[in-house]
Amino acid sequence: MAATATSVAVPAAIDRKAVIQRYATYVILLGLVVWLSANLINSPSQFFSAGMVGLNLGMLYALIALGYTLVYGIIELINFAHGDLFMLGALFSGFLLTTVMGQEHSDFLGIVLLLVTIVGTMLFCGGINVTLEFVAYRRLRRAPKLAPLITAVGMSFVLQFIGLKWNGSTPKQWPSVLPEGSFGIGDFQVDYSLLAVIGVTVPVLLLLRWVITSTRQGKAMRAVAQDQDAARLMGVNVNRTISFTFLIGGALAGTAGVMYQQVVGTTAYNLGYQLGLIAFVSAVLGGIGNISGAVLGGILIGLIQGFNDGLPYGFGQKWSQSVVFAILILLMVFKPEGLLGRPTTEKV
Amino acid sequence: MSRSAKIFATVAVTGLALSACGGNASGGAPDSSSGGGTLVIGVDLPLQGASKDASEATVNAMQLYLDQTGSKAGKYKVKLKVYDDSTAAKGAWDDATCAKNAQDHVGNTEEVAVMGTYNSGCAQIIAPVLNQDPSGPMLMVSHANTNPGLTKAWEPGEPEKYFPSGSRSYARVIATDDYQGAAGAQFAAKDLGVKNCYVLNDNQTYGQGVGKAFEDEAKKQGIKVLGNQAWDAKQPNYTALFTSIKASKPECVYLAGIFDNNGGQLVKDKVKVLGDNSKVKLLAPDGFSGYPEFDGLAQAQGAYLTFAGLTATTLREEGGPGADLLDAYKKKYGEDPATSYALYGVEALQVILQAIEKSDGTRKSITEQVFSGSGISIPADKSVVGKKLDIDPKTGDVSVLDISVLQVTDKEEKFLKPWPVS
Repeated sequence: MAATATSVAVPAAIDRKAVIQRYATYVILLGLVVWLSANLINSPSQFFSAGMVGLNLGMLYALIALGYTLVYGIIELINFAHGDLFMLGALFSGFLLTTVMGQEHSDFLGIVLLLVTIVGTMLFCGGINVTLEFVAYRRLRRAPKLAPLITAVGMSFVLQFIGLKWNGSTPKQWPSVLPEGSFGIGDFQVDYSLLAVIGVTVPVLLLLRWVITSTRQGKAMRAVAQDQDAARLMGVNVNRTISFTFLIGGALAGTAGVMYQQVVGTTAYNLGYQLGLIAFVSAVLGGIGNISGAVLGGILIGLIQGFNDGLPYGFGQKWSQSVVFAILILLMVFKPEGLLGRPTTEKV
Repeated sequence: MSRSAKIFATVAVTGLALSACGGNASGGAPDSSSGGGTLVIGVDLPLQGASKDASEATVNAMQLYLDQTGSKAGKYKVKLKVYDDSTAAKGAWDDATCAKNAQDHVGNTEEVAVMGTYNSGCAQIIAPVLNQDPSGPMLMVSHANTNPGLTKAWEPGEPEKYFPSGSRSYARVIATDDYQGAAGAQFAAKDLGVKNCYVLNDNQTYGQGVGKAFEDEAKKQGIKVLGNQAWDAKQPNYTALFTSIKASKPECVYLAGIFDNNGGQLVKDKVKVLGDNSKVKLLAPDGFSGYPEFDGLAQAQGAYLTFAGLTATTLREEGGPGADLLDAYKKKYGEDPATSYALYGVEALQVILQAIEKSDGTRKSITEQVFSGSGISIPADKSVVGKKLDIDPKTGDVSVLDISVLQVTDKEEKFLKPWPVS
């Protein structure tokens, strides 16, 4: 699958390929723009609410996608258990906030307890993720690529089973401590829950950016991602750095779990499988290994789903998944490295 | 593997498969030298997932009835054997499990008839297998399958495709969705006075059937059907779906399907986007009835449900064997059954017991009692639904057609009114 841009090929051929790629991308984008404009002109208020719904979901996808991307970036492993970790986070959030602390209404105390729950769930999911890495992935680090991948799938089943025993096989409904209702003008309404999601997601993302770009630990992460052996020679503790990456990825999944449990309000043991798949697709769409790409991909897919399900000229909910994957496949054909990914010669 | 080993393995596997599908030649007749023996009635219900409470209540009510009547049918002793047609992973009925149960019913030589299933889609899988039982056909009586196609012309090829042997073997003791869906639409038009309605279905046999019936009758009643689309049980939420529905300004939403298919999220998002149930009416068929989780949802309050039979409330008021059984149930378990289908489970059991009583104890003979001559008739003083009940020997459908309208208030399903079936 690698795009080999070596100088062996004839320049003219490269040019033609590049031109075709560029024009195909333009055509796809133009089609999207036409479709969205038609809807916008037809019913602006509906377009707006569908966009809000999509943005809401997209933020959650982005949070989960980051965990995939972080782990992939550092040890080139698709951690299939990540979606299920998010599911356990959602269950833990419900357990802590509603069952243990008994908070069922939206008030000042509710918001405080929500923050406590976010921290608690971050630690819970981070801890599980570090344990997974320590128990299952660490000893396979030098094994052939398939071994850790299959192990990750196995771990996904283990976490799913825990979720099944914990949540039961029926979806559970939870009360929300977020303020209900919306604000805005006329038909253009923004839900308070969307503000809450933005209010939690954006600071978390900024914090993550800061950690990776401006701290010693972040520098170590980037070094390990580039070249493990060289990093080790430079005195970077590789094991600790990888554990730290898993901790952050898990904490992000935990945050997503809390927000999902609060905003959507239903938990099911197979939630991780469905959302994990979409989040993984988001990460690939944005360019796997690229942090901004994961966020962009997540929000894009959320918007696509929101628009497809909620617009007068959409395909309807039945085709939601098909539309997402059709767009992904089209993009992969013309831009295999994803939206913000770098062309690589040896990965995947 | 060497070639001879392969041949041996093939023969062995084929032999296993044949023995699994076999069943014994006499099909259930115990050695009748002692004037009778013990016969088993299979009970096929989803015991895991959202339907768990309803299924357990049904089994308990049936067992209670058997205990009260001395577990006898004529000269035979009778006992129940419960089969689960759901999986933990699905949290609802599962087609592979239904297919396996069908083979098990046929394979269990002591079993002579099946009471079930709860879900129409599962019955569509089991009925043809029981019908082709070499020692049968084996009788199946359902207390809750409302999809019309199982007994009457509905979709292409129905109902013939469920009876490959050419003779019938499936009966039921409740009204079907062509009545239930129609009653829902009539209620919406006459009592709620809605002018338009949006239909959502869960893309399963039952949901599509009852949705279609509602839609057809709604048009006759002058209600504009704004759309009928499937909801995907796997979606995280339905806010976007209801956003698109909101544009058509519906006065009511009809949820044709079962609560098991992420119904909780669906109802929550309906209220979130379209407003509460007094503003935009929420109607659902019996696929949302008998689920404590649904009744307990804040967003479900005010929703109207139809039920293809009589509810515990009505039966209590009428008195008779149904009320007595309900009182005994309450005494034993401390509460009423979680679903009104529990009593229909007992009614189906009564049909099976009478068929056994008249028969010679073989599967074939038991089925013949229901589908030949005047068929099965339960007199009013015995029938737990308080009315004389006849099973039509030609179709397996029931003579008593009751539709109840319920409303969810105070986290309970309250009986609102009976709906005349036309």
